[in-house]
Amino acid sequence: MKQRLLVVAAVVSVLAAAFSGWSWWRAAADDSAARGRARDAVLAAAGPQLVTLNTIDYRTAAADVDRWIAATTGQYGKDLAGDRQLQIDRAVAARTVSSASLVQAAVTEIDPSRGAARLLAVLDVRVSTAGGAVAPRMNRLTVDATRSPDGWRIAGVQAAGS
Amino acid sequence: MTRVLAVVIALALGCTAWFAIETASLSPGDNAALVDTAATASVASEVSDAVKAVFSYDYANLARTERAAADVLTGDAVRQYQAQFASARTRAAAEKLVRTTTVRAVGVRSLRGDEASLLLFLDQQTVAQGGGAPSSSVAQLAVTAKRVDGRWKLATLTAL
Repeated sequence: MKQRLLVVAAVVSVLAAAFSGWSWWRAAADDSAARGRARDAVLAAAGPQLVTLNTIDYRTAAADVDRWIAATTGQYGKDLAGDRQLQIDRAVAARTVSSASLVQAAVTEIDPSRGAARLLAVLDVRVSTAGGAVAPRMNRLTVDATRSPDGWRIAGVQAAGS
Repeated sequence: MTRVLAVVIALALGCTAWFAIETASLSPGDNAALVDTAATASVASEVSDAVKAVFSYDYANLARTERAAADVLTGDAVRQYQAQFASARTRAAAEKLVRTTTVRAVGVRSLRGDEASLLLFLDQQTVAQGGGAPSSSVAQLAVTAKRVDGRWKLATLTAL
């Protein structure tokens, strides 16, 4: 009797395992769920990266520009790396201090299989040069992001006519 | 035999728990933006049309804009919009202004059932019939939308 109960329990638990395994497989193969996960991942990554790309202090320019380069990928990252010294010299010469905060962002296109996304972002950027007054500016941007082996990175930023 | 069955049960239950945790971690949550592409496209296009209609006006036909506003605004947006439009209306009539608003870009941030939040980039061109150069301006608008009787309406409007 006890043996029979155990057999029933074993069959039921194996069926439960099979069902939950199938649910897992189905969830992993679900393209729409993959878009949702990629949407959240790219938003979480791109927000701080866009802030980084608008942050520089001429006293720490080299480290700041290195952070720009680390936040980017593809041709955009290569261009920034190529211009590294130019960017540092420019910030030092103008005594630029810039900080930024993300106001709002939205993903407009996502393709998890290609690892490509496009976003809209509004950034509040405060720039001062040569110790002068801070000029606040709302930047509205269209942003391309690409998934690299280390996660999502910024692959391009365009000002959307502001 | 009993021992073998006990091991099978323990392994199977362990796997069930593991698979359930993995499945839960794959869930994109309840935000259907970009997950349900058809619903995302439809809220984006309806909200864009609504925003274009309420932020465009012609001094010679201000009633059309007011009708559009009555049609596509709901909740807080009604009051928010009336306060703005009252002053725009006076100026439009006095200076014979025609303002055309176009949506340069729209992104759906969240879509949950009958509620959505969106980010829009607007371009506005204003022409004074009395002469003078046309002026253009840009705006960023955060919108929450509610679906009322199957149609998306603007519930709050926040200029960023």
